[in-house]
Amino acid sequence: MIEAYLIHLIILIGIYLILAISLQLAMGFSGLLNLGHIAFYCIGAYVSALLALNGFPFWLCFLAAGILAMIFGFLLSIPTNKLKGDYLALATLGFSFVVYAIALNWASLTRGPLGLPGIPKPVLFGISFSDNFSFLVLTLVIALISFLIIKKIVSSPFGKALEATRDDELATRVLGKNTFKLKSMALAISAFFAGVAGSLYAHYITFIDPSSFTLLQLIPVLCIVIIGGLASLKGTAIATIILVLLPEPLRFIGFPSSIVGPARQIIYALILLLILIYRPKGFFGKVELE
Amino acid sequence: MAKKIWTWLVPLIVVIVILAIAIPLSMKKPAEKEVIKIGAILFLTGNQAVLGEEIKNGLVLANELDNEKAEQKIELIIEDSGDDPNKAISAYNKLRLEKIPIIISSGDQVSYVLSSITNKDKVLLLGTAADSQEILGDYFFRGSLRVQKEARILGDYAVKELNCKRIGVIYINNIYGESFRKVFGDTARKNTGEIVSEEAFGIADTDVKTQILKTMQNNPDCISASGFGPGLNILFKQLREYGWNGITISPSPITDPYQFKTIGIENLNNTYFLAVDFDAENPSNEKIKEFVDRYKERFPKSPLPGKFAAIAYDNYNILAWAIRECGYDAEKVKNCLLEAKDKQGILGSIDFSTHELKIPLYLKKVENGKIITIKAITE
Repeated sequence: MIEAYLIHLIILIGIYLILAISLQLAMGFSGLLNLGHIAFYCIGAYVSALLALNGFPFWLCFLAAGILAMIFGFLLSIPTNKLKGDYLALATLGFSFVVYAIALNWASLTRGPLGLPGIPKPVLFGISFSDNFSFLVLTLVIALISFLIIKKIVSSPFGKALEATRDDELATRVLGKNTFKLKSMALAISAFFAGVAGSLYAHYITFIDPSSFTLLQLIPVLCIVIIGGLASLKGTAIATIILVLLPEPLRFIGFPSSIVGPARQIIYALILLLILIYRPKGFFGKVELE
Repeated sequence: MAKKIWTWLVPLIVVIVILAIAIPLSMKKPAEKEVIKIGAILFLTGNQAVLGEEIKNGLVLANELDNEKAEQKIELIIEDSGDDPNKAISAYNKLRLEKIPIIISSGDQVSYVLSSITNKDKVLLLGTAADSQEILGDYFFRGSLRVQKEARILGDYAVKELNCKRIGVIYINNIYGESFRKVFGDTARKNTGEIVSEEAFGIADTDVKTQILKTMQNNPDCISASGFGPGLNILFKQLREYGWNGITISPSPITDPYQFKTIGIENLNNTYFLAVDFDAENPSNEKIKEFVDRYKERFPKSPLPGKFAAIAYDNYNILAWAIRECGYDAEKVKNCLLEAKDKQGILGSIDFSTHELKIPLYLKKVENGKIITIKAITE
């Protein structure tokens, strides 16, 4: 029993970690205030679910989820390339509303608000991940690989160029770097991993509908990135663990349910507020949120 | 220096959080006499929190009144899902730590996700406000009115009895509205009715004029308005603003006091709707009156109870009866529920023999500011 409880929480940590470090790549390392990240998560979840429900193998669904999200990430970068700060945030937010509206209204494909039930659990190279423990192993392996890949990216010359673009785009251009290409690639890679996280989520929960991909779902991920600290993968990982686990003790304290529900939301808001006031860079942040 | 502190402080917080979870888990209570517990995973936060609160109140009241009379008490443990499957699974796992074999859930997505787990774990799940047709399984019971059934009854009645040949459909854009739209439209068409338009609105919409105009441009004989929440209130008010006085058809959520009062009876003239035998302001029998009185006494700051509270109350009572009658075990309670027919609740005779809640339904109409019962639905 205890195992089931902890396994579920660790699976959530794994999925949120992939989602948060991918947002960190766009937001923390590249300076792209991307509020449309949940849309890539949504695209990944729907692509993977639709393919799986049509009999395609998990590895294909999983890769297709990442690749299609990546394509959309790249496409989104074209019209938004010259936008910065608030304007970019609004444009990407608009994108997430569009994706949500498509998921809700393209009923012949997505079944609209009825959602997609019966998404199969993954089977990879003959190994079934139908029980939660094996799914946990799969999630942790994918989360670890994602973490290492993004770590490699941000410590590579390409990653340094991204940080340079974030700090001073004009100076980076003067040095001969194509910042359009850099930002597009950052957004596309970030979207790829969000799509991968979406695929894992769909195959874990086995039912998705548009309400799983609203702005409300983005808030915890944004909190993780800001609390962990911009441009810090270590901070993101620690913040993911804290924010996923933090509300859980409330379940055992014995408060009435009318307090526990809102208390979870208040905790997130309170931590975010305290961090923004006393430690604007987050736990291990290298840059301040502007 | 500051960085060094944070390097230690953050992992420390992580350890504290993990310990805060682990210690209560590991502190096993000494063996105690079997305590009967029922879990409830409800949407107490989020978009549907109003309904969740009403369901919770119904369950809490039933639990307290039941414990007043019964020798063996039942503990009701309520968890919030926020209508989010991730949180619901956490809540379920927490309830399972206490080895609770009977759980009540609310919401479609949450109930679907939970049913796939509970069927495997052989835990009995009773879903309220869970209409999705895909929520099935040996250990799942649907403790709510089925939207598809209401859509079929209203679709039939609209064409056959009200002679609505051209119908405009305005529906809430969620799983409830979509399920209603589909079955209502299919039934109307089967009876040679024509659906002239289908327009959707959002649960929190504050303006549905466009949908109303597009519907009225098609000159419908009748309009079907299905849904709940603030969007439905606005829909009815704006229908009147645009001069619609024709026949309007609506399923049972409109009978909830929050909807009914906010819309105002003056905006509901010529509206046909389905309802259970429950009106908190004019109780039709002693059982309902007693329930309403106790509810007001127990929750003085809450609005009057609606059908969700009443159904939750009956659901709890039939579960409590099944536990005491057949034993505190999911399998035994399941078999008990399947055999239970004609159990009397405050809403009338309750039947769970098909895994679905069957309670008496009534077709009603608002005429000149008064509610008239047209007929009882016998199926």
